Amino acid sequence: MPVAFIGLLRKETIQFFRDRVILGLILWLYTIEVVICAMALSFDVENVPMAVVDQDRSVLSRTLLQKFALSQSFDLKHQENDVSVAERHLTRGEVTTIFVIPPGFERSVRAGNQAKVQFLQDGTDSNIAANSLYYAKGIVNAFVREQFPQSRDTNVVSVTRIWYNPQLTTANFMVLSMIALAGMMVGVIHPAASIVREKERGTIEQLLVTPISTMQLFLAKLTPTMIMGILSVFPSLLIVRAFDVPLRGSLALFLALTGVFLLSAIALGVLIASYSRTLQQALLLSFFGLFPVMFLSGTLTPVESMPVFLQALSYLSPLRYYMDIITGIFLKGAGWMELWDETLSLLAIAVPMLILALAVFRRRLK
Amino acid sequence: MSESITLQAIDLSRRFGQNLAVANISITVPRGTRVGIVGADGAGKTTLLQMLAGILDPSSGSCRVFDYDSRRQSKKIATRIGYMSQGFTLYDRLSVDENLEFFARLHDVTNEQYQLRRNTLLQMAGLTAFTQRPAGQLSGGMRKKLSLCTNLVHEPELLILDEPGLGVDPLSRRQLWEMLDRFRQQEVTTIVATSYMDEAMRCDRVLLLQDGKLLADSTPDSLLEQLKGRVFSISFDSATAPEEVVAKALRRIQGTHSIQRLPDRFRCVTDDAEFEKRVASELRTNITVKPAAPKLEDLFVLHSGEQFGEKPLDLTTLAPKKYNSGVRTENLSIRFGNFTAVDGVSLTVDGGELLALLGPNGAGKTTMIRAFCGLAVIGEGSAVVAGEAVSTTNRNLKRQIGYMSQKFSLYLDMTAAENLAFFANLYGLSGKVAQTAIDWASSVTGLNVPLQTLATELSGAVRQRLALACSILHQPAVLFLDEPTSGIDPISRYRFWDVIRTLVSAGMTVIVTTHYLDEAAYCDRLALMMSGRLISHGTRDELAHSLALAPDTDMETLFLQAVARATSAEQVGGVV
Repeated sequence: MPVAFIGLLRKETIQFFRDRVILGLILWLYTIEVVICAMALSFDVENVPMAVVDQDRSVLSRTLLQKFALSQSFDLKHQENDVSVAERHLTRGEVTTIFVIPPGFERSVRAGNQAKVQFLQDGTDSNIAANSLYYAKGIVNAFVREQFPQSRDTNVVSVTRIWYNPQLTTANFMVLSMIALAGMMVGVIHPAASIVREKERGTIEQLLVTPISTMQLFLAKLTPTMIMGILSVFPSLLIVRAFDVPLRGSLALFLALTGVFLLSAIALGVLIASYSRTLQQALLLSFFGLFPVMFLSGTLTPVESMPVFLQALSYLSPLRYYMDIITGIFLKGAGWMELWDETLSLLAIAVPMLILALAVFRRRLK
Repeated sequence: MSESITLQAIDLSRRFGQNLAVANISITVPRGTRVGIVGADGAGKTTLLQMLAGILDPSSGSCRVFDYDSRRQSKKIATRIGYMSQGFTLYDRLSVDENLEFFARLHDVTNEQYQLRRNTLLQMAGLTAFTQRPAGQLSGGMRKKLSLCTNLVHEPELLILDEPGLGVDPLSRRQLWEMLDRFRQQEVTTIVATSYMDEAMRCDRVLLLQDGKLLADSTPDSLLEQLKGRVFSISFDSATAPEEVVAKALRRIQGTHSIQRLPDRFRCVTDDAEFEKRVASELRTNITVKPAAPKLEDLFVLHSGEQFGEKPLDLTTLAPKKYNSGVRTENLSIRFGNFTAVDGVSLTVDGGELLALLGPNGAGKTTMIRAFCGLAVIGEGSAVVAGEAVSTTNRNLKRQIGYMSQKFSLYLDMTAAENLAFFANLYGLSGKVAQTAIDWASSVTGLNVPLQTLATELSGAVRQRLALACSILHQPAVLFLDEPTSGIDPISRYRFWDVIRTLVSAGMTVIVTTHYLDEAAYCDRLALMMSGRLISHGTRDELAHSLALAPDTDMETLFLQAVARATSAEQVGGVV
């Protein structure tokens, strides 16, 4: 390697380790932020506030209410006699679900007739509404089976098994997506900031009057982010442990594919830096770039539920493939054989972007 | 405190951690006076001004402005003063008009008052034609003038200015002071920090600040009186007494405070009453020692107590390699869209020559230097630097040149040693070769700080030396310096020029742009630029002769005359 390039690399490394703020931020992003994200953005239904109206006041109805009171999913906030009073709690947002047991519930059950109970659901957040309804039905079904084992339909028994995430916890998924997001953010913002800072201080001009080539400068800006982006995955692995997320596949493959993913993030960062004059501009532009990449990745909502037009666009988001890779390696134990097409897709995005970034970087520096 | 006293400070001190920035300063400023504050970089000028303006609370002592206490009644003080800080205080995206109006509103200036003052101020500042232009697109000089207008729009009784002339071309600086003179007639009290000695000369009183302490407080004239018999000019015949021999001999003399090295002579400030005799005994050859006209700058040198001669520059390792190749341009033009930044310049600079490129802001000096460095695309004509054709793609060119910008482009988060090693690497120097180059460049530039210090902790003057060291590590044939002495105190400037003259005497070609016209005296030849064109070129005497002025005419007059002549020629040309 030429002396000048080694010098450039050494300088970038010194600057990186001397900037305590950036170091702290990266560590924060890969640890605390991952924890916050996993805990706060959980889609599991827990402690749904509920009002109950028991108009039957029978032994059976009380036993059923007991089931709800004992479940993790619901939190019995109010017990009313009148449905209209319970509805007021719903309107005020104190509860999101009302469970009504009509008069004669026990009688019709004992008589072998069909008995009905009613759920009134606040549908503002459709996700929570659907989930809590699903949980409520489960509780009622379990109750019926327990109370009347003889009435069970013995002809068809469906046994459901869920693979890769048997507890169906969203925490596993959220921890992994936050790690992917952190990689994206650092990959874009770090090279952008380090280039723009040189523009602001005027040091870039000083570099340009020396005999180094723009290619060397470009590579020197790319390499440290790459190495650092791969290394900063390690603190996250501790968090992954803490959340009991399994690592079923190979760590080496994960690190290698993280590097491939970072290529496109860095290319985006260099592009942004080439068009910005100040750090503020670079950060704002980064967010312009980061949000669509994130929205289209399938991290927040499944790609399949997007409009067709956006589904097509989502093929351009490197994060989409990286999410498949990261969940594949961690949860499914996927190896190279399963992930080669994602890898090729990442390269198909990264290589043209890098070429474009280099061209723009060259042109804008002149 | 009576009506006639604007400001009274008693025993004012300010600490920043362990560092005592201002120590026990007491001053009384009567109404309508103009006080100049002079001191080196880091002497405590800005800290003192901020305390006087009530922006910064003193650690001890007290300050009363218009009989208000600066600690408890700073808001009352603020409404009656104008404070112009060193950095720009304008909104870049707002137009000239909008900026001015904004500051007027801040100070509750009524509409009628504003309309009246606006016209007067803009006219004085010569900004009437640019009212709609965003402040961000004004030249440095125009911005300073607008900044001054925004501080005058509420007609303050006390004006506090922190280095108003910094980075401003001579023409704009003159207009700035004309504005200040007008307001002085209206009994506005002014306190102005400056590193320009001619600005200090325009004051009623001058405070000399060093390391936060008040060294002197008197009129400029009485201060100059102290310099009688202390300043000498030494001219020599380079055939019998080479420049380096004379320089070494002068350094040996005890009590010498400064040695200014001009192209044909030296200028010294000394404690020694017997200086003339001593020089004669040190050097028996053809030299003439004459008393020289003192300047306020010399006083500063004298008071600083520093001795110049301690460490002679070591040039033994400066290899006389590919030197003696200069710069030649033919009909050089550089355009940005429709705007012609450099317009048909033909200029020849011989190898081993020191050329000063002078001109108002926006004259095209910086653009031309950028083109020489391969940073700007040449539109028409050609340029050859150090035997290499100038283009943005010629990497051989970049091995031959050194460049130091106004901003002293260093990595502030790296130590001095790391900066030096980094730039050595960029020029392909590593290991022992790099270390030799670094040692050489540090000793040539007199970089005598611990190299493990972070660049951000170094003073402006030391950063300047470090930046220079970084740009000459590879011993370039041609060195470009863009405003290399901005914001640097006089002693450091003397030293800097001594280094530059030494490099030139070893055969390096140096092209420098500067706003300090005094500094043109260090240069072999001058090139004056205006609106992208080269309007005059030659030695100082040649320029004076061509303008029909006396040979000893001061630089500023020379410059302004040349600009005036070029402007009138342009107008005549326009009619024809």
